[in-house]
Amino acid sequence: MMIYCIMLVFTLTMVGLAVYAGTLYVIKGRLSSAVDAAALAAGRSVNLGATVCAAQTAATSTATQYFNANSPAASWAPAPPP
Amino acid sequence: MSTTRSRSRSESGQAMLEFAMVCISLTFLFAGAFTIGAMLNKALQVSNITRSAAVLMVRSVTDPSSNLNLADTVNQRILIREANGLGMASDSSFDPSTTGNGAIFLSQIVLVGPVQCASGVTSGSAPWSAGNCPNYGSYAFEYYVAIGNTTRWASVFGVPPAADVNSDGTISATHIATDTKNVVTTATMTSVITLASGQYSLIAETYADISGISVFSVFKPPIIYFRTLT
Repeated sequence: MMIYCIMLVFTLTMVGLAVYAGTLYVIKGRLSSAVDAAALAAGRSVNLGATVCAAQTAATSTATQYFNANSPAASWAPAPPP
Repeated sequence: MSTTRSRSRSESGQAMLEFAMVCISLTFLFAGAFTIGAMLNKALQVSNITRSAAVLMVRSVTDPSSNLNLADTVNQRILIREANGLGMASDSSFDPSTTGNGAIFLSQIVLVGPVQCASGVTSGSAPWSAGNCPNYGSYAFEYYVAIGNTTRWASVFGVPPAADVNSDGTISATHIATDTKNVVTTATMTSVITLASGQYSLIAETYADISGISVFSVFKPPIIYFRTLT
């Protein structure tokens, strides 16, 4: 029984690591998705500025806004549907 | 001699019993780990589908010359093919199933401002207000396409009146500016993003029921919901 108990510690650790790694992959996917969406939104807003400087400001502002909307600070998951 | 043999048999039996007991807990542990792993995999797939839907919508909405009509089943196959394994297809051609295990919602929502009022209101002129342009200052649908099992799920942002939505998913300027049923609750929209007057956002949402991957009914995976705004 002692051997099984020792093995169980390792098994639980490995299973935990596997689940954790899976979660990291999902977070990576969502982060990637948020960056993509921010880039697309920034691209749309570039033509809002009359000058290069204004266009850059608009693009940066929009990219930040959409990145934050797609990856809420409180959680990596979007808000659940009401 | 016989005492030793008897003890050996007894120890062997005890070890088997212990192994059997441990096996029960290990079976549940591995089943749970498998279910969680598969669930994470599906979550990643749903995330990718939503991202692709947003990219296609950007192409469809902002570049009319692309002639990419996402209300057309042939084009919806692009997304359903990416959702392979989620049970969203009705046939081998990857046509979306209206009774399947998932749904995709594509919406364009605008905060109605002077530009929308000027092009949607025929009898009135600036300065615009809710009096001469009923949806002024409200969030309204400009585009809406629903794919898949839309009887089971609905967009978080609501559904525009069916009569307002054209066959290609677009909504006329008149309905955007004047149809008060074609609005999104401000609280719902601002909980996700706050737009400036006249600014629009493209939103892709995906629901997927992945309960089919559960090994045991006690490990019931949730319905996955993911959305992308761009």
